[in-house]
Amino acid sequence: MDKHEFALDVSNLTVEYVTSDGIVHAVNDIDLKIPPQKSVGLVGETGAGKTSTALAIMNLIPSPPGVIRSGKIILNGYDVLHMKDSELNQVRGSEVAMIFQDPMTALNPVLNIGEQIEESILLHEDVTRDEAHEQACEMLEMVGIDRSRIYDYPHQLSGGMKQRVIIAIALCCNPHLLIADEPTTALDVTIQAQVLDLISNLRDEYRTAMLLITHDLGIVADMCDEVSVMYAGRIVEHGTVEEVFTNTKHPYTEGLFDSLPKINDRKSLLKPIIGLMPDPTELPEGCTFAPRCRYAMDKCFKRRPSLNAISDTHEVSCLAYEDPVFSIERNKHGR
Amino acid sequence: MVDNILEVRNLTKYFKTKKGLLHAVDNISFTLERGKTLGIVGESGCGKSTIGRSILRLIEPTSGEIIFNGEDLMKLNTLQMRSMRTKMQIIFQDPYSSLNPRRTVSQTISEAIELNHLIHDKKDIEKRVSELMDMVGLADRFANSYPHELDGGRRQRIGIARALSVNPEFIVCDEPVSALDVSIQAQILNLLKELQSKLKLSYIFITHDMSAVNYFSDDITVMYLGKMVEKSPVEDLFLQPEHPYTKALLSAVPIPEYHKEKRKRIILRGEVKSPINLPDECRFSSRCQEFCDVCKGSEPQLKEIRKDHFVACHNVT
Amino acid sequence: MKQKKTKRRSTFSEIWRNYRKNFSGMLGLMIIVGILVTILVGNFIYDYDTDVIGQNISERKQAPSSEHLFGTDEFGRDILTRIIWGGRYSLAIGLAAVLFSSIIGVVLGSLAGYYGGVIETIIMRLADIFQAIPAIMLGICFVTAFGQSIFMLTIAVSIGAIPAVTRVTRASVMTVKDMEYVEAARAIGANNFVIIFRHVLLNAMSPVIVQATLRIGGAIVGIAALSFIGLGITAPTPEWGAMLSSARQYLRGYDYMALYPGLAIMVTVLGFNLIGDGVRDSMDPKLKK
Repeated sequence: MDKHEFALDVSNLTVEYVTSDGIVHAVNDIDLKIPPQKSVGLVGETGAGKTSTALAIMNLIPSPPGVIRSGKIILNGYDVLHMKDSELNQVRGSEVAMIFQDPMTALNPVLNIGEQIEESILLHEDVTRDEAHEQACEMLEMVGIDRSRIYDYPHQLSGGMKQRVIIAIALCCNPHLLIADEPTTALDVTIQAQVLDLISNLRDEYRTAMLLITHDLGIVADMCDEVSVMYAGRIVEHGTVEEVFTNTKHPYTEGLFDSLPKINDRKSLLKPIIGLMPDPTELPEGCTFAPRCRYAMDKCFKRRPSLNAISDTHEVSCLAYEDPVFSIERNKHGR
Repeated sequence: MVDNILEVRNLTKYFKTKKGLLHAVDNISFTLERGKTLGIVGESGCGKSTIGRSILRLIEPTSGEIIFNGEDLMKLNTLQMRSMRTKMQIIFQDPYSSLNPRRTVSQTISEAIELNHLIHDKKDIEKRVSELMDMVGLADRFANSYPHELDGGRRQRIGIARALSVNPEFIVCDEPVSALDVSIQAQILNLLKELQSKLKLSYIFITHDMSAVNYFSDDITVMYLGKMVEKSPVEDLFLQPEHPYTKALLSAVPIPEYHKEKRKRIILRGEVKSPINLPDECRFSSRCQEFCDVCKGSEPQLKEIRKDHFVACHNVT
Repeated sequence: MKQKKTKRRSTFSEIWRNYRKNFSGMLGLMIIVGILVTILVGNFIYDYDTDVIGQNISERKQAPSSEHLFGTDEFGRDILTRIIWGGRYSLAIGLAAVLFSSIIGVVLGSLAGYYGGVIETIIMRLADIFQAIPAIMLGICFVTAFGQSIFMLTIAVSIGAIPAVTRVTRASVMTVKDMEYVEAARAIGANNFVIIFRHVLLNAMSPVIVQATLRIGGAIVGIAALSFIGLGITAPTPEWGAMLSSARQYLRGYDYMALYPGLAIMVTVLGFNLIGDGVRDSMDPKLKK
């Protein structure tokens, strides 16, 4: 039935926030494609534009101050940016669902969890209240919570259980695309493992495509098929997980890997990326990463690189690769 | 003869709550060798932050001894304790709430110097502040900035400079990098390491991040629900974890490496139980993958199973 | 490469920077500055004995005209003159009352919030009791008991507001005292005095200041109310509430006599409330970058 080539096809997306201190260039001309049933990781640090990208896909950018300057977002055949609000509400939830970072505030504290799951089912499916209730019970069991707890209120649940409820709400209408925005950042390591395990099982079962937004490369390695690395509102490297992790191309991606302490190698020193992410109100003219890049040459400060294909699936946005013998440290020494 | 800067014996902290006694820290003992780092790891609610604050008596421990440089801190009065804190300091997790938003960088850093009358001359204080800022990698031009004008990494550097301003010998680092971005985390961890060797500091490094503790510490203590479950030198713990909780914790850490097959992990059942009114049984038993009948009987005690490697589990001998 | 140190900006200048962008706040400020200037100028052009309280029977109860813009009262005194002169009492007592209640309330509130325990229980239960009595009743009792001097009036008007200030301060202090920077201050050897003043109060003050600005209007109405029932400023001193009160008997036929003092109260209160809203908006840390 999959008549569409991609579950999500974003092209030339640009998002800006107009503030009194200037225009914040949050997302700058990015392309992002997610094939059906695949998982793509979107990796980057705070302020890289990950969440703005996710909100734009749902057409939920708060406006003002946010503006979607340009771009096209095709979500399983629906042109999200050119839809009426009423149609959008149908698409949200049934075609695309989102899991937020903070499970503590994503649930309404005055409704019990059953009501919150049922609400979502009733909005998108033509069922009676009783049927919705039964479905909600099933969803709850699916995410590993006993159905007897359906009348519990959010404050009676722990952080991990709240995140499970949120996952239940997100998946109850069987969306084609699940956007998970740092779904486990607020959770403890062992609970994170539980929740990630649950997400990946359910994703296989429901055959849902997923956009996983995270800053944790370890989670990407476990959960995703492809990965896009974002820096200052641009995608600097994209490829399959294998390509990006074993044949890293962009100096920023390399910097991210070198900043992480390795769990089975405690002797080698961390090599942090120097400096800070540029102010998104005044991005540098050339490559946005050039001021922090240890390979930067003169031309990097003048010309903006575009994404160049290395293989069919691997792209990198770096001028250094115009020099055919160039390669970054990480790949020279192997791992 | 080992030179221990800190020795903690049977440290216990209970909080009274409406529902009963909350066992935040239960009978913890450890020693810290001068110039070394002891990592305390565990998940939220395991009492690791309470230990850090109890050692400085920012939280008053219920019982126990804290012997710092041969002196029992529990016997000091408020005034003596206040002057003792020039030798021991703390760095906080949240670089947003740990700085007074109404005070400039230099005011924050110089406060401890003025309060403790370490330097009297105004010019010299100013010189010392810029020396400290230089030491932690903060440019001079930020001296008159307010915290909200700076990013998380710089703010954390201010917190470090504040701690260093009294020339401490020992610092509790309470999750110093958890609130920061990956690339900034590495900057701060490297800075702390560099300062340790330059100033001969001893650290207690509190964290939930297994990779960071591995990089940073010499010894590790794993906590679960107020109890120490495993204690060992770092290499030994990561090579051969013994306690089922440590094993699960290590296997739960996502590793940023490509692997074709899905990694086999231990997924723990359930969640941490409430630390209020605990029964006499292994606190981890409800989630343990190696659970058996003995676990319900009594609480396991720490046993030395190899040299310097302690485990509290009925099933490990 | 060496960059100059950034100039030090105080908290106040930052708030002012935000405040200037606030239209209604600036409007309120202009109203109040206008009123203050008028009162100041009035001080020089009018003479208290002849213009303000001097009676002129031949010109009594005259409707507004080019000679008497707001008309004259039952004793032939120019109402505009009396309003301008009377403003000083309303404003001075209003500001003083708010200052007084804020000081007492902040002290009590910080003690309760910072130390907790028995101190908190005593202070807060007292506040409960006082808050249960209507503020105007408290004022009336106070003035009846201690006399009608301007000083007593000020206290009478402020007394009802103290519990509210205490409550706001306590809540704010309780949030701030749990911040890590307070713990950090303790870790570097600061004593309670330093911690309360430098670290807690300074950061806990925003809601208190906002509330105080919003309360000035209320205090002015409070004085007017006391004067209206004859317990405030006494005749012949021109206070807006007292003027309203004496105009009451001539309401039929000479409505302008009540209209203008009423308008004066309204505009002043509006001005202060606009300022209060503006201050609240500009102190909101979310507006800061």
